Amino acid sequence: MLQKKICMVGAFATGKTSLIARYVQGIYSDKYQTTVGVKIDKKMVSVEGEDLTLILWDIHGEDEFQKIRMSYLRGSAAYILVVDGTRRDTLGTVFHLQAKVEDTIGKVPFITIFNKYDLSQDWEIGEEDLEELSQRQWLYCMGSARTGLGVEECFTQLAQLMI
Amino acid sequence: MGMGLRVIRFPPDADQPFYPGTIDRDSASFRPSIIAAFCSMSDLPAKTNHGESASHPEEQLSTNDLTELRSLLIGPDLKERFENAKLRSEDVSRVLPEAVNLTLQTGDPAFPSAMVPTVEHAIKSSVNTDQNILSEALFPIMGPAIRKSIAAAIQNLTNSLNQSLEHSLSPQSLSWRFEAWRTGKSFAEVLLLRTLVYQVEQVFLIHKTSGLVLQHLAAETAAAQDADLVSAMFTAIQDFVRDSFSVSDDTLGSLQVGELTIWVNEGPQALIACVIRGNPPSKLRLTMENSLERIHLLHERQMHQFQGDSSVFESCRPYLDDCLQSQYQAKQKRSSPLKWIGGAASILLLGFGAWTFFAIQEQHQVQSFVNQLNQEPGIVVLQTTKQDGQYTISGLKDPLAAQPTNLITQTDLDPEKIQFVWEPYLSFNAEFLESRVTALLQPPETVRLTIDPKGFIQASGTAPQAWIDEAQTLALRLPNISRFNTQNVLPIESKALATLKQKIEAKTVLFTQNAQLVSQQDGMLKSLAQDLSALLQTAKTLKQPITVLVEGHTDTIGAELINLSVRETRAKAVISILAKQGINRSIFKMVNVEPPASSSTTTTPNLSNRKVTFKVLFVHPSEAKQ
Repeated sequence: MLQKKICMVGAFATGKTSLIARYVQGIYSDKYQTTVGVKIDKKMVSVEGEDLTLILWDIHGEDEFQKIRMSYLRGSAAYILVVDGTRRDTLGTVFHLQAKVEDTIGKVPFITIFNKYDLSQDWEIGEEDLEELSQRQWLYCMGSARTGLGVEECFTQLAQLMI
Repeated sequence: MGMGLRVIRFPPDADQPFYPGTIDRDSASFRPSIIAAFCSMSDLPAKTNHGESASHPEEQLSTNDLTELRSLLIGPDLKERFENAKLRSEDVSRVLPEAVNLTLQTGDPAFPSAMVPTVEHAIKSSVNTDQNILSEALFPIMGPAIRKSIAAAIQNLTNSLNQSLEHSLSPQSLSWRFEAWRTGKSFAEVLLLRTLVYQVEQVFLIHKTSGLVLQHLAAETAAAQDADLVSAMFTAIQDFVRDSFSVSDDTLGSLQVGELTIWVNEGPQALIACVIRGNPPSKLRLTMENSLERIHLLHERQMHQFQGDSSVFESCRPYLDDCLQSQYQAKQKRSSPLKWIGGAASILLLGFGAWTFFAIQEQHQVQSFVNQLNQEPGIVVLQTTKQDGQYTISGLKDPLAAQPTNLITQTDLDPEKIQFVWEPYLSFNAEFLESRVTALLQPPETVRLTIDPKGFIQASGTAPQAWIDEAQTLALRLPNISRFNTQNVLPIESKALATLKQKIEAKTVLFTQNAQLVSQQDGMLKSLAQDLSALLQTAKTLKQPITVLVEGHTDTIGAELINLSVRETRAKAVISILAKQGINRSIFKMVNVEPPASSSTTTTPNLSNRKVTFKVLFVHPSEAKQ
């Protein structure tokens, strides 16, 4: 049984905790609870016949008052960058965070998820943003913790990159 | 030469330094040991010492010296020593014990490890050859060791029993019982927790950089949470503390949460965290340190390259197991009278409980026995009563049913404790019905009886008519028998009747003229009478009416009117002869048989037609037609 540490990284209130709750427990709650420090969860998956235990580190979101502690990222086998599709500025946070993460733990697989895809009327991510991600050769997917859309696929895609 | 030593140059060439053990160019088989042996010889002239000779190369050995040296070196004695394996073994045997001693003194680890396979092999082969030798050798050690271990186990048991009894009814234990009830834990758990000085409940071996669990051990009594999550969270806390207080190199050494203490020892690649309940002694730190060092010694490389596969760290478990320690409160010597009273009360309770248990168990056994009895055909249990420890089972029992006293021996019940009171009755069980019918009717072997549940007996085969008649009356007297069908039973007598009929009809009584019998027919007439008598007897048993037609015949000579009377006379004569023999006249019926018409035309008289013949009819004489 292989164990892998995966970190959720992103601006505050992008839905990191909700994505994990949806992925691990299959539930979603409208109530917003800010994460202080770290929450940890685990999920067993089987990828290409290999059993994996994913230890999911849900790190508090970054804002002007609280910077992400890079020490939480040590030893990660992969990480997930979470963007709130209805707040375009969270994409900028992710670009900036990714550079910091790579500085700290080196090159490991990662994927970007555009969360809250169900709120289409407030959607702020345009074609040119996705174009930029493609130019950077970043893997990305659309998802919604509320409806469950794309969440499982996103984690599975990342798990495949790790083995 | 045997040893292949052809040339020895002493001293060797000046430009070629001579060392002990150097092999001469021309003598490949010259062994270093020989030189060594040679050098150790004390009676060798000083000048032959290689060190000296090397320093005086100008000195030459004379031929005599060389010969002497040669004989010294490879004299017959030495040569024999090398060639004779037995001598060589003797030499080695002399120095072997001392050599082994020396090796052990130097403390060279290579020797013991070299010996291990040999010793293991020796033990294995000894066991294979004869187990007794080794078992006898080990007996003096095994016996005491086993005794000691059993004594220790009993001591432990006694201690824990003492402890349980002591805590069974004391005020403190009552409060613990309350706590157990309140928290939903078992009393034993609470007891352990309260008397515990400390217990290491869980040991984590955690990979430092990723926070993933390499190994996790939990004590049997401890409630362990998901080790993966705890380990990760613990690492997060470490990171948090390190960042928050800017202590980059140091780690959190211990954590205190309620009754739990978490001790952490950190190595370069991994850390050991012990979750401890109670107050751990400082020597536990040493144990943790020791285990961590050993684990690093074994697995430093694997931990450095750790990619999430923790299976390689299985071998660390014994080291982590060392950390899973615990210590309980020493037993207090003082014992209060209350405890004694409590102990006595609990023993009484225990005794009462055991008595109740056995009583219930016995009752259960009796009940299952009664159920078993009711399953038996021909037994109906109506009542089971218990008085003064004695059970009385009463009911109905068919005389043909199995004996309940025999059935009781197949159970665990004490036969002395059970009495039976049976009222006899007849069971209509098919099996019993059949055996009752068989016992009463006693059918011959040639008869087969089948009885259906409605009490309908079907008989088939052959039997004497007498049995058939008797059975028919008897069978219907049995209870629950409604019909007895004997249609398929062939009476043996009817067969005899047919034979007799055949015999009688084959007989002919011959006459001369008129009513004069041909002589010498007495024997035939006698046997005829016997056959007729048997026929009548058999017919009587079968209640078969019989008519014997006595047919008078004549030839065609003479007037028909006369012939008619002659035929009658002949028949009458035969009847009267037979009647004289004891045959009832009433069965006979005379018949006048006219001679065949065709013969009337012939002139030669048919003498063989002057006769009387017989026909047996199974009808009453009054109904017989001619």
